[in-house]
Amino acid sequence: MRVTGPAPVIELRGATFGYGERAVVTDIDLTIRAGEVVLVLGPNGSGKSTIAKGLFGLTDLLAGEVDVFGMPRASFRDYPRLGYVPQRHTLASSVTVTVAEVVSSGRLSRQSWLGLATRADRAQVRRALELVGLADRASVDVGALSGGQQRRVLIARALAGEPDVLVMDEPTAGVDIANQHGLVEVLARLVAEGLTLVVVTHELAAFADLVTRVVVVDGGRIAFDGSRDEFVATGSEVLHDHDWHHHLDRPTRWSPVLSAEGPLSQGGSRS
Amino acid sequence: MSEMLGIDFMQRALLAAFLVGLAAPLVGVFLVQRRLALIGDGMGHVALAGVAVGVWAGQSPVWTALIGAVIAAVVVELIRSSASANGDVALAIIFYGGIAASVVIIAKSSRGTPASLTAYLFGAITTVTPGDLWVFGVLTVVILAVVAVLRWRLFAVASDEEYAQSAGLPVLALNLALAILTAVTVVVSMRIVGLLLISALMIVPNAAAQLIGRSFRSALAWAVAIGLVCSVGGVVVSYAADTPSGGTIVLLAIGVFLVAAVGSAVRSRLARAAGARHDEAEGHGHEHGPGCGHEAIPHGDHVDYVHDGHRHAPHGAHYDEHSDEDSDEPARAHEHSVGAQLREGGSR
Repeated sequence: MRVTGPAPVIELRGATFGYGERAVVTDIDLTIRAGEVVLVLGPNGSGKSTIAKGLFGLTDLLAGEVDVFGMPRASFRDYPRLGYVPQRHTLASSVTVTVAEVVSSGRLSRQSWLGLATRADRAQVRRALELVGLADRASVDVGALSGGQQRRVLIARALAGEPDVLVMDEPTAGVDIANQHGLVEVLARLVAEGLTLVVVTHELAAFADLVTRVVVVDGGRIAFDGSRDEFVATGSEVLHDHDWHHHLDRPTRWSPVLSAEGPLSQGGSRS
Repeated sequence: MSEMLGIDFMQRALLAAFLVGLAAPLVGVFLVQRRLALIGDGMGHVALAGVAVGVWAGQSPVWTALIGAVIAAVVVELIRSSASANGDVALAIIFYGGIAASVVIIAKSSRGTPASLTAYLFGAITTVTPGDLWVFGVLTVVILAVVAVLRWRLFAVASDEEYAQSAGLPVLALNLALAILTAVTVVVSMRIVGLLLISALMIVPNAAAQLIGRSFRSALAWAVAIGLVCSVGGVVVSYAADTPSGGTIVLLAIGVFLVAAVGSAVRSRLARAAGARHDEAEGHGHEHGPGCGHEAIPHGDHVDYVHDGHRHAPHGAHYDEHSDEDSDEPARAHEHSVGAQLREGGSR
């Protein structure tokens, strides 16, 4: 099932990540290709977030190699292509910050040091806000938004950099079901536009219809790596103490979204 | 007033106050954002040791203070970023070492006594020399230029360091830049506000502005305005009432903060009262947006979505019920109308 055609966008070869001397995940081999929607599953403390952070140099690479867009991570400089949505429970801070201001900071990596925000920068910020359905709330204080809306602000911030690959760490943690649906609708639209998605989560249910591939991390190692269907077939054996696989059979109300065309095909409303 | 402006030292004091009022809130906002409101205080302590060395050596204390503060800033930031378990204690040792050294050095100096440190600690309007003014002016221009170029990067690092690093921003370099900006601001403020009080002028105007502004940008504009008014106003009051300038300026700033706090409390009271009149959609699980399947109707500055015969308009984290006829009346009772007025007055 796995596509072998597109070039790898992320390639880990025997990668060991950790903090200082302490390894958290060891000997990870993982190749992610353009267009995949990869779910990195695992219980809390399994090391799945450590892998995600390692892609951005936020955890130390202790052994092995990490290639991003065919280039060793250490010499990779085209930062905006690899978007990151970190795990954060709240955006409330000691200062007032609007949604648009947070999202605009995702544009910085594409701006020169002396340059001001151009018309193209502002247009991309607006587009990112529209994609996550928060255009109406651009000038609202982020602290006033719900948890689910704040996650979408973080997604929009990453989208403002126009990434080819989006790595998200626990985007649904602490988000209620209704808002999870909204979030997945947004991601489905982005995938339809060609975005490669890597989602670190311990909640499979929300993404069941979107995912093309499942990687299970357990005890700092990859315990399973296969297509969605392979995972359904073997899931019960791989995931001894979890019931994620039960959710896969349940039809969800956002299923039609996946088969629908992307938002850009709906006419000129976005221009 | 004209009599006051005719006095040389007052002209210099007012100019120095203007520079301080402009620079301090601009740098301070990032300290507030990073929850480092007290760091400027510590740098003031070390700058005082620099002052003492200057007095002892017969040099300009401004330059020695600048050297001391900048060295302290770099060391402090490196200790902080290493996140070592004893970092907090290390900072305490540096800060108290600075103030202890300054007292001892001054006592051993033939040119000063511990009492002569008072002007540096609390500010005095008679002490600004023409040479100082030139140095302050150049340093302020440097602060303004660096903040103008780096402000959104400093903002990004202060709001989410991990994300900033993932986006390729040089996080340590930007944090060092902020630390050095803080040190330079401390020195620019040492004559007028004083090294023990300068942190207040970086923080208090921002604290007040946070109660007024509705965005980072507009709150910062308010903070600079408040900083300028308090700083220049404080020098004028200090002259008229014969009080130490630093204390006067900081008390003024705290007064503004209290007024803003009361105003903000009253405003949210009124908004709550108005909230009883504004109609929130019940149990709204669905998120409206382009292509959500509900008819979108432009309504003034926002878009309503027709949802089971109701018109829903986004408001904060929830939706309000809007109708065709209400385009004027409820908007006046609305919290946002107050915010919009302030926004118009505050930003850009």
